[in-house]
Amino acid sequence: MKDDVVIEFKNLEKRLGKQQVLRGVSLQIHRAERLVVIGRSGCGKSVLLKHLIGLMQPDKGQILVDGKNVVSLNEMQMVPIRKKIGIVFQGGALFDSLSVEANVGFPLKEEKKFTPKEIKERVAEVLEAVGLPNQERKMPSELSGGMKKRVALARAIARLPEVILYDEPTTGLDPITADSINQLINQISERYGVTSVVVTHDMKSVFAIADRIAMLRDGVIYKIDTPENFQKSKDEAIQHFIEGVSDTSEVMI
Amino acid sequence: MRWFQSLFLKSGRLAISFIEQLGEVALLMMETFRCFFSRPLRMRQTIQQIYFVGVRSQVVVLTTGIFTGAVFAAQIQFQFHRLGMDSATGSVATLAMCRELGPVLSALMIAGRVGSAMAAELATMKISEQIDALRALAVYPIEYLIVPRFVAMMISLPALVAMAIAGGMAAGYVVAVPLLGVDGTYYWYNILQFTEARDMWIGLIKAFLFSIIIVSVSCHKGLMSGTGAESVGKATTEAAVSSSLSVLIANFFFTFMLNSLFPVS
Repeated sequence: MKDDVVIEFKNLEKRLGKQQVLRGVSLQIHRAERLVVIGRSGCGKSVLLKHLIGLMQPDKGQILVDGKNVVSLNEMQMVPIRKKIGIVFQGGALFDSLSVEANVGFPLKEEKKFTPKEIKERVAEVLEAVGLPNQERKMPSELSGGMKKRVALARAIARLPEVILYDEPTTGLDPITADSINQLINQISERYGVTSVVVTHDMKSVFAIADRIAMLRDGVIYKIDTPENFQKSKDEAIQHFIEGVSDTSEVMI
Repeated sequence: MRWFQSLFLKSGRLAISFIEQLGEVALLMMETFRCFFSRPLRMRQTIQQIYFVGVRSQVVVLTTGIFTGAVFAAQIQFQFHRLGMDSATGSVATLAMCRELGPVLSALMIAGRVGSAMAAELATMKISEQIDALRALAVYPIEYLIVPRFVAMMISLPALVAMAIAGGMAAGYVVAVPLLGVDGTYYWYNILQFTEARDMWIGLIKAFLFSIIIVSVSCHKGLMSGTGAESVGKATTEAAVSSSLSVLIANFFFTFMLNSLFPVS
């Protein structure tokens, strides 16, 4: 099982301003699994993802990708790591001056290995895979929230990464669109055999996607287990989170 | 005593923040030049930026040059007429346009028009995570976003300044000769007599140095902006104000530096 670990966080610590966001996160992510990281808003879920791709540097700890510590690597050294990992940002982060085709084809163009014809074909293929065929000419400003996330997903899978990170993929979407995004995440995971790390607090998404769930609380991994065991758990904090029950002391009138 | 302490503390913080920002701008410039010399230039982005910085700014800069040259020639003629030196109007107006008015006023217009737009665009890209997306896609933002802007600005501003100077000289001639009755032959003779290639060089070198100041300050303001919508407005304003002030202050030092490099013979 040890060889099966594709990403490993070891005692990761991070302070942002006066807040100690991560207090020693240790977590192993296995190849081709769908791991969902849950936790309350502001608990450091997105911070954890950003560390993985080198957009943030930890104060302490290690991040191993395929056994290689990626902490303190410079931008050039991060290039091969980033090519292995695709990320879907919360708002899509599409380049607003580029068309859908140029956005999705962007990582392929940067590879400088493909002809324009090959890029065009691949773009059409991944747009079809995310359920947006023939939308190449549209600009990001012409897309709805759900479509933007699909295009962002198409861009993330365009160069077939080994790992895809999803930052709140269903936030701000209606329940039907959110469900279609959940199904898409599962389909992509199965079709391409990629490892998926999903950060969310949408419990419907969590149970629709997860092979395993990791709960981040007070800057550490509070519990990591299967969805079934999470549902069966008698732990008050877990049950409150799953059921969306707030602590009465937090309610201020 | 307490107010003095507080004043001292505030000035100290201001000085530290100024030095920090100066250091950040210097680091950004170093990194940009390192990328420029170590990686191939992105031609498409550079041409787009030249179009935005250079081509789209022609009307603004040419208008500035024409009306500055016209007003300056008129004012000089009004004063020189009393001394019977009307024909010297052309040489003084041309020298002023080449050495000071052309580069400084064009740079100020570009700082307002282009510097603020660059800061706004980069700040918007930052808050919408587009810069993070570039890095996540294994593209170095300095190479993709900043180097083309630097190159475009360094090519465009000297060209725009040359246009402003030419426009100002032509407008000065039109105002002085047909409108105010200065003798055209003497007007040109004095321009040729007292203006040399070095005057033009001084203007163009200043334009080149101003271009580096404007693009560095504006890109820095955009990249270092905060994360809210308010920060985009703040970055935009700060880029225009800081780059304009930097141009005016730097101009003082460049004047002395260039005068020692190209002394008046």
